Amino acid sequence: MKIFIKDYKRSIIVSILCFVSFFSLNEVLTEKRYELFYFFSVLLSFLFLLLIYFDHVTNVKKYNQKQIFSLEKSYYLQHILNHYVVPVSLYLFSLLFIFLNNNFPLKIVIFFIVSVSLLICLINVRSYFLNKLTLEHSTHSIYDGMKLIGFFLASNALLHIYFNGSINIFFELIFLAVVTIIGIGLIFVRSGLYSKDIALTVILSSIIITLLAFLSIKVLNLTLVQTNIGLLTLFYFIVAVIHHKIEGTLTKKIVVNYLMFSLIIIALMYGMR
Amino acid sequence: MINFLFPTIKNDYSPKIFESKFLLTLAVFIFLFNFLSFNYLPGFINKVEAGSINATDLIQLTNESRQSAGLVELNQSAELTAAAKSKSEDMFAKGYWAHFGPNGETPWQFIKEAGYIYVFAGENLAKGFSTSSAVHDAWLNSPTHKANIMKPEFRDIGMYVAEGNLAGEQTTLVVQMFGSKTDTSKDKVAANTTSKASSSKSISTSSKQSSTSSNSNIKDTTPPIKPTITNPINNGFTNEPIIKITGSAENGSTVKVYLNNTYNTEGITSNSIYSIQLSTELQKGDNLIEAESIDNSGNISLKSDPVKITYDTTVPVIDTSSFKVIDKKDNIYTLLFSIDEPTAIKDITATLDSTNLIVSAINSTDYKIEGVNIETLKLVKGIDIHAEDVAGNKTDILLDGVSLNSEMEKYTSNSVTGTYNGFEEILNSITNLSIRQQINIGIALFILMFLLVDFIILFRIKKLHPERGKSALHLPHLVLVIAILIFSGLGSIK
Repeated sequence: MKIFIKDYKRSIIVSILCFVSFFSLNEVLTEKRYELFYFFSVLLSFLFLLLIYFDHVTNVKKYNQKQIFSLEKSYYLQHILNHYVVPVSLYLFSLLFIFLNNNFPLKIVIFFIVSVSLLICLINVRSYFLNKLTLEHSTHSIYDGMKLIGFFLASNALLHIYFNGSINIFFELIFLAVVTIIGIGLIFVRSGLYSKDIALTVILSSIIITLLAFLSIKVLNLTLVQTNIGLLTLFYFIVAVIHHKIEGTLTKKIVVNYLMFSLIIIALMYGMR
Repeated sequence: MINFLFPTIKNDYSPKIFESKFLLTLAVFIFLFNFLSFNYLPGFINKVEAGSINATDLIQLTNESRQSAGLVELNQSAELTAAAKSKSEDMFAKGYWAHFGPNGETPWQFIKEAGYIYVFAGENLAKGFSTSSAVHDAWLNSPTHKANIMKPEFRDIGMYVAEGNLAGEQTTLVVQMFGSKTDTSKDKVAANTTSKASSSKSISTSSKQSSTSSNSNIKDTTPPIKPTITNPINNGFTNEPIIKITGSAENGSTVKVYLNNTYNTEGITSNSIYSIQLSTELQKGDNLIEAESIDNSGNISLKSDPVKITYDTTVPVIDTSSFKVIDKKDNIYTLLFSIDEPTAIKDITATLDSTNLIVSAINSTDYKIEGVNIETLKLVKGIDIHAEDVAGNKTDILLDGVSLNSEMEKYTSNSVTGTYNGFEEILNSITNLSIRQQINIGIALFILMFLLVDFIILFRIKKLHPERGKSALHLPHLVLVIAILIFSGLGSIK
């Protein structure tokens, strides 16, 4: 345990600081001090980016992982993109979530989930440099969980912006498609898979997601929350199928298993009306 | 049992609890339980405490949103509250949930019947939520509902929260009505409907065209149309003993006015309008007024629809001994007090050193005053409170600052500082749910607990990857869904 804390001290501190920053920014917003909120949001985002960057530089220097750059570029990219795009997106979308939502209890849960996700993500990044690849290997599927959280936060922000009348449905769907492409694209990048079929899969997934969004908003007239849960569940299912396909473990049984879990979610939604 | 619940070597690290068969059984069970709860099980299972959605909180949230947009705060209107109440009762009685009723009932009808003569009016509806903030959030997240909340023209608000059985479903309905009485020359409405656009409302009065015949041998045997009474309004209140009755009837006809089924007075219609003062005083309490019209040929119309008016001269009594401090933040206090009023309070204001304080109703008798600064109170005589009931009876009192100061200081010494009520809000979000919703959440938490255990065990023995790592996706998905279900609610809005 001591070694664990020693190795991952920085990751633990950063995730705790993130939780505190979310909480403090929310307090600033509660006091309706918007200028202060904007100022600190930009400042903290910049600091977070710097932190992530210096963490990378330190990791490379301190753990003498300079040979990492001599690795095939795609191998380097597949890790680095996930190591940095995922935490930065999580942090930025969390700030948007704080700004756009009024629901305090939900915010607390999101702060907690995002902070824990950031902790796991940063531990994974560090373990990658520490050559503790067994840890990274055993927990890398958690990245897909983080993408799920990131997608929830991004789609929540986009839906808020649309429902507030700031963008029209066309741009809403375009942005949603882009978020889906980035989220699902990163799964393939993580595994170093690039092909025409994969590009088609990513585009098809984003079309399905945007189609559901269009139906929920325009045809079924669902509320923001109902649309958000629907999109999240569909994204979860797509990510799960892709995840297992990449791992070579995709079977009918696995698909049915995820379908059944989605069915439980729908049953719970029916009961919570 | 262990092999069923936890990942072990024997079950190849795949506990039966997360296999498709069990998940399907569980999904069917949840569907069945919810279906039975909605349709066959006793009502208390679905009962959400209406008190957990609070009209006062919703009005406060609405005003906070308006304030942050630089708009004027809305005043709580007794008439609009009565209109919202009538609307909710009508929806429960006729089993519909819409802006327009099955028989063509419009929101404006309820507003007018409650005696609110509007220039602008609007309506927001919600059902199936369990907290005030969830309702308000859902409205703010819908452009049309938000437009009503943020409409600069509105000045008054009325809210009603009712719990009951709507077409076989036990639910909580929230009706929010907005209005503005200024500029009565226009008659515009802002309806918040999801599919129908805002419509302009025009009042059309139907009146029989009176005709004079040149042939005196032809006798007019057609009775005049039923007169209408436009003033006083039905279910209205007054503190005047003798009132004027106005309305429309056949031009040139004589209108007879009946008070409590007894002939009272009569007058002649001019330009199809009549205006007649009662010859006797109203009796205390409820009075029934009707009118009938008699044309020049002696034909008598049907009696008008009866109008009920309550004569009330009792002034509201503000109970000065009821004042107590209920909340404090820094030097700012919130006070609670009671008013004894048999009808309803239309207008209530509180002023501290010429600054208007926020006064809102907690229920029919209790009110709260927010924003009382103890430092300011020390410098002035006290708080001026003015209350007016729906009949127009007014009362003004000065709440003594000295006795109030000691109450406030007492509260300071007894209060526990440093607690954050946000966590109480989290707990309330769960306890406010109906038993059915709590059972659903219980099942979800049960699955979540075993997923977490599964995840930890697999992580520790490094078996999380690859095909067994399903909980890595199940877990965040379920956590997010549970959080949204508990704290945002899945209610609908119209």
